[in-house]
Amino acid sequence: MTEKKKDLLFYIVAISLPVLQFCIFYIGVNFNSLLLAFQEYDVASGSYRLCGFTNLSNVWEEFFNTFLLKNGFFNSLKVWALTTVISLPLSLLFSFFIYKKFPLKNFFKVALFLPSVISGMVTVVIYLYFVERAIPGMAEKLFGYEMVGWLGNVDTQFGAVLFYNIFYSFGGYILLFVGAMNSVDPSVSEAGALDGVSGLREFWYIVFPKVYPTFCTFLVLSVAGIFTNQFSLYSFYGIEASNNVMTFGYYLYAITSVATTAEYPRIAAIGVLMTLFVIPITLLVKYVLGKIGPKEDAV
Amino acid sequence: MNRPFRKIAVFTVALAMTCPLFLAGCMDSQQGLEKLDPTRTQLYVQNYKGGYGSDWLYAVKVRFEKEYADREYESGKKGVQIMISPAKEDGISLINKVSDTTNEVFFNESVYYYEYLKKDLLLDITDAVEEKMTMFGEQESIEDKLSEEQISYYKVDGKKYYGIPHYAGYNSIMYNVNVFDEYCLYFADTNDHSFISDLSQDKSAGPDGEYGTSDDGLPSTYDEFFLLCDYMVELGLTPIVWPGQYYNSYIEKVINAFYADDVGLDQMMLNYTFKGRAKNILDTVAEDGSYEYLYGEEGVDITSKNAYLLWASEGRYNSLSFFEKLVKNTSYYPKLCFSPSYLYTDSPKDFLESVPKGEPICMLVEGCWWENEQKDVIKQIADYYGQEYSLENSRFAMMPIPKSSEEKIGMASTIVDTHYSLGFISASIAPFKQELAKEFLMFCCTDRSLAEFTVTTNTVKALDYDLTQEEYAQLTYFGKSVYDLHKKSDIVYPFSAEEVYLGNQSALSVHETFGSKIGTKEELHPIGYFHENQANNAIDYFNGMLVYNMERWDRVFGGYFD
Repeated sequence: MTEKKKDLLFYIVAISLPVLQFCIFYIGVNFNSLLLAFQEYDVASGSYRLCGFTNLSNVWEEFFNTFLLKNGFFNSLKVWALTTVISLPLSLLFSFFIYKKFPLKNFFKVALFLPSVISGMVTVVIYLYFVERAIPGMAEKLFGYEMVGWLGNVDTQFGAVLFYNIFYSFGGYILLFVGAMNSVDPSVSEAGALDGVSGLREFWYIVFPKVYPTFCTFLVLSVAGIFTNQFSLYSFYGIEASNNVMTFGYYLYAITSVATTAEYPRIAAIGVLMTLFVIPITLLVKYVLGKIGPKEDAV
Repeated sequence: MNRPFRKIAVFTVALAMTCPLFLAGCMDSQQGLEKLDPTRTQLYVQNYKGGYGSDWLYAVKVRFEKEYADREYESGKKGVQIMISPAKEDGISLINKVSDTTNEVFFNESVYYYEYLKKDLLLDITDAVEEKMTMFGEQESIEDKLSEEQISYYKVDGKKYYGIPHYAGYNSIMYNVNVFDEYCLYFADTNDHSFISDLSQDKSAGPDGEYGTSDDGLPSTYDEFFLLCDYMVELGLTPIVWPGQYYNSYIEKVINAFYADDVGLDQMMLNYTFKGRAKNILDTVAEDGSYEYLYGEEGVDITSKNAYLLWASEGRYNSLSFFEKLVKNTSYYPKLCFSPSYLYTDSPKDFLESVPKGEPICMLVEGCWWENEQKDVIKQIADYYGQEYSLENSRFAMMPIPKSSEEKIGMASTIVDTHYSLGFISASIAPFKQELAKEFLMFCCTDRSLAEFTVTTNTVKALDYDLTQEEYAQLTYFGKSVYDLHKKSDIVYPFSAEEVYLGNQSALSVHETFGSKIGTKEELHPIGYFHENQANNAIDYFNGMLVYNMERWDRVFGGYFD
């Protein structure tokens, strides 16, 4: 066997499993979901049959007539906007802090990476007990103030869950941002320093352009996932999260977890409807981000 | 080998060595629990590892293996080995795995029977259900132990059985009898709703209206229940506790139990059969709580088209009002009762530990399996605080549901089995084992096995059977109260073979039927709604339930009756 054939064989063997997995668990699953949106369950025969656009039109009508879907929709947008507006810039800032090797950089590295390294369920439990037991306990012991935990209190639960999600997201963001920042040629930074470029200008004109593709990827992915992000609500509340915090992704997840075969088509139709909504927005964001953005040579 | 490669090689070998550990973790636990005996035929049984545990199954296993020690099902093998695999996986997630697992007989809950049937996952066990169990010394068949409602549901098209009910799950309010006795928390036999001052005093007749029964002195009406709670608070006791983690589903099941007890078996079953005359359907409830009956004394015929009217039942309003009052008074329960950090294991533990700690909690919202589930905790508490808190010396009981008004005192008790539990055989079982599996299922339903189940778990199976006096004496105080209630109550099995129900079993299941539309806003959980704001009340919630269900009825279920 020639070297070229060996390489090809190696390539085929190496790539076949991921491709197969992609075909089954992405293409297959999504195609099936898409198909389900146009089917209904026949109880008598125990099988699905095509029903055209009935499910979609029912869900469309439901969307405008029910508070739950609308509420989930707007909560999802709210969560996305807040986490993106707060989390992405802060991640950039922390990453720059670590990249520039400022004091306590290792502390920040550990503190911000840790939630991503530990299992999500473990961090949820730690956070849950911290805000539900430790903080009210301390408030009572230290100040004699009786308070309800933030996650159980309807007035504070949205903020408490939001804080957790923002904090939890730092690890992933920072890992990739710092990686991208490290690809900046040190001589460019040194030359900038000799020319008296301030930290802010260095960030904006030297570092940010390097991480901009990563930044764009995160932003586009976050837009694409607006209506599937369940905001860690299932880990905190099981299927009993209140309307205050319920996102669309959570709603879909919760109803799917208890649904029977007959109920899948409606859920699939909700998913398809949201996909139709989010596709143009995602493409638009990707297009706009490609058009704008910092230039590396404008120092 | 150079250094980096050596490191990689060592790492790879280390990883490879740990693989079996992970794989062992992924394999069915049956493989590791008992050594396979190659001289016997194995029957693999999966049991849901929940509140009822698996002790009962191990007890059956011992007797069955002994009884079948000389049977031959495979050449060269003699006897049967029951391989038990406890699994924390309910019927909803099991449905996609039944045919892939090595298990052959299943005991599980939350099993949507007809879903499994449509997927051809269940073996036809008609002969095992209908045959008299003479081979085990009994003159009855399993079918003889089923109620009419159960037969119409489990006997598909009135012809074939593919599964049988397993245990019964009743949700209600539990109470600590020792605490009730110590603080004399019983109503006196007077007309002024006063409490007894010592246990020798005559107690009131309780909700069953009969003197000399186990419910004497217990609250007979909703009003008395709250008088009792106020009295407990006055004495410095905490009246009740429930898990904050799942407060909605825990309390909703009890709201449903109150509703069932208020309207009775026949009216309750309309929610599943959609056939019959519904009575006491209310018009909108006014702000002052007054209302009129929408269809007068006569009531209205319910079909699948208008079954949303059942959400305007007076019983629903009564039970919602009860729980509004309970939730709104924060002195009745610990503040953690609405905290997601207060787990379903915390509330029974606190309930148990509250007495030795000197801060008694009197009642607990739970299911009838809770004592069995907490056996280890009770033992730990007894070991730590003293044997007066052991299972043998503890006295817990399931409280009979108080009546919504004095006129209903003495009305039969109605309880709801919420668990959708099922015993079945996988359709993919090897043909040579089918008879064996059926006989095992029958063996589990003999009077002796049923009694053994009850004595072991202090709960009941969802079948009709009696305990002997000797067996009854072996039950804990709590077990006796569960058994007594099971025997004397009408039991709602919340299902039917009606097409609308079967097509939407989860949307119509107990925990999914509390939706309401208040103004333009939908709410799914009344308890969360009452807790959210003091101004939120049962009247608005109840009125909104009819609106919510009217609006969803055609949209969700319309395809079944258009």
